[in-house]
Formats: sequence, C-alpha cells, structure tokens
Amino acid sequence: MELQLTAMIDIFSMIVIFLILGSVFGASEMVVPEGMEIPRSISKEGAESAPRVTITREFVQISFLSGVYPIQTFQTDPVTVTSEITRLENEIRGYVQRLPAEAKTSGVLLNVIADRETPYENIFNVVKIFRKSGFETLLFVAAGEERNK
Amino acid sequence: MIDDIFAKRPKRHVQDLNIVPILDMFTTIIFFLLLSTGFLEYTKLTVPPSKVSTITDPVVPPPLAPKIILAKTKREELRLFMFWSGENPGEVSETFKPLDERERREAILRISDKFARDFSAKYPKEKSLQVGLGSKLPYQDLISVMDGVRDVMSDLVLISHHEADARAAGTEPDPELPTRASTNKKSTEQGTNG
Repeated sequence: MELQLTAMIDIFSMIVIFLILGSVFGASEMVVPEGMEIPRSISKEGAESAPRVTITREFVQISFLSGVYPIQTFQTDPVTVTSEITRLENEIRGYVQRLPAEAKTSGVLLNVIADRETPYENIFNVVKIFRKSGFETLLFVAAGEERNK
Repeated sequence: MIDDIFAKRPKRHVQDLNIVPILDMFTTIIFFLLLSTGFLEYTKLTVPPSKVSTITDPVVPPPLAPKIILAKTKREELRLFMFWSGENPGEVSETFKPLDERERREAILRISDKFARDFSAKYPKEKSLQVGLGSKLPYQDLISVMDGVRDVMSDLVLISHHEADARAAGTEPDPELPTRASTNKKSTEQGTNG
C-alpha cells in the first residue's frame, strides 16, 4: 500500500504559510536580555528597526557602541557633567552624523528597551543623553497587550 | 500484418512524482522558520522631537503647556495629576491605591485617558503633552500613562523626574488633614476652565 502523501503536503504547505505570515522579521534584531521583562502596552504600533539602547537596573548597553556602561555613569546632575558622559555624548553624536541620509528621513530613531521595573529616573537620565546627542525620536519597546473593555 | 494491428501496445507508464525532496525541503523550511522567528509581538510608543517656542507678543496668552505627572504620595498611594497654564490655568488630579500590578496598570490607563479626553474636549487643538513620573516609579507606569493619553495627544515629551517629585511634594495633601479613609480612591478637581 502506498503512503498517501497529498494530505501531508497540504498540511506542510499550510504550516509554512502560517509561519511566514506570523513571523516578525523586522523586529528580530530586538534582543531582550534574558530575565528582563519588558513593559506591556496596548499600543498597536509595530516595532521599527533602529539602533537600540538596553537599560537594566545595573547597566546600559548601546547597540552601536561596544562595552557596557554602569547606570551610575548617567546619574549626573546638570552641573557636574563627567568626562565619561562627555566622551559618550561625542561618540553618539559621531554615530548620528555618520548615519546615511535615508536613515534620517523620518527622524533619527532610537529603540529603548528596558525592564518594566526600572525606575523612571534611570530611564530619563539615559534617554536625556541620547536626545542631547542627536536622537530625535524615542521608541519605547513594549510587549503587546489587549485593552480590557 | 493483422498481428501487427492487434498487437498489445505497451502500457503507458505514468512516472510518479518524486516528492521526497519536496518533503525534505518543507521540513527544512519549517524548522528554519520555527527556530528563527519570534512570536512575541513588539509594539512601540513614539516620543517626537521637543520644540522650543518663543513668546514675542505679550498680549498673546501664555501657551497651555499641559503636563501630566504620576507620583507617589507619603501615604504610599499613587497620584496622577494633569495641569496646564494658558489664559485659564487648571488642574485635575486623582489619588488611588491599586492592589496589584494589573489593577495599577488599568487604573493609570483609565485615569490618564479620562484626563486627556476631558482636556482635549476643552482644547481640541492642543496635541502636545509633557509626561513625567516620580523618580522611583517603574518604567511600566510611564508606558501605562502614555498608553492612556496617546489616543488624543499625539506629541508626548518627557519631563524630568525632579520636576515631577517637586510638583508632587508641593501639591501633596497634608497627611494630618482628615480624608475619606474608607475608600482607597479619591478624586479632586480644580481649575477655572469651562
């Protein structure tokens, strides 16, 4: 008896189509560190591909710069700006200037990935540096959630 | 001759399609997609560039510059207040004490949505709102506030936690004053707008 393969191929095709349509290829570069819980949001806007900054309670990681920065680096008041912050601002500014013109058509975007429990003070202190250094639009990355009616 | 005419013709042989490689290919694609894809749906909230406005005509009333601030009170409650300047400055606020994280998210979302809609009904042209939180409040609260106001206020600008803390300390009700202790949710409204 011959194996009936038509039904099997049908199922395989449907699985392939489902997976292709259900995949989020654009956001695949959105790497959320292990153990980090990103906030939940009812926003329906899709994620966009952009450079990203990851903020945890202890450190800050920038996708286009090597190394990890302790969160204390960013906790400066406006009067005492450390040399480390100045250097970081210059590096970020240099990166923004090197971006191709087509990447700036809808503003210079930055994806902000942070744990939902991160204090607002940390978030603000970090994004403030990026805004000062040329990033125009901040995209706060969150996991989608349905709104309760 | 006759034998030639009625001779048995060889059977037409239909060649079977070799579907083994097709199946192999499908299986490979499925494994590739399963391993490479992410099913978690990401969303984002956008904060547009800030603007600097200069007032040159003293007759023109000051800009509305509405702000919404979430802060923690001395009683460990959450207080959400929205205030604005302009010709008729005003303020609305609501204090609440959520029991769990979900309730907290929903309360912030509901109240900020209500404040933004009421404000937008009074000032439909105003689309910019400044958002701030107390320094120790979690990031999730910021996202919840932004979720609440995004439907009617398209331009959101973050303000410093110092300003939020100072404002919360300045407007916080005196803990010695009697309040409605029976309920964990209270609302106050003041302002001269109509």
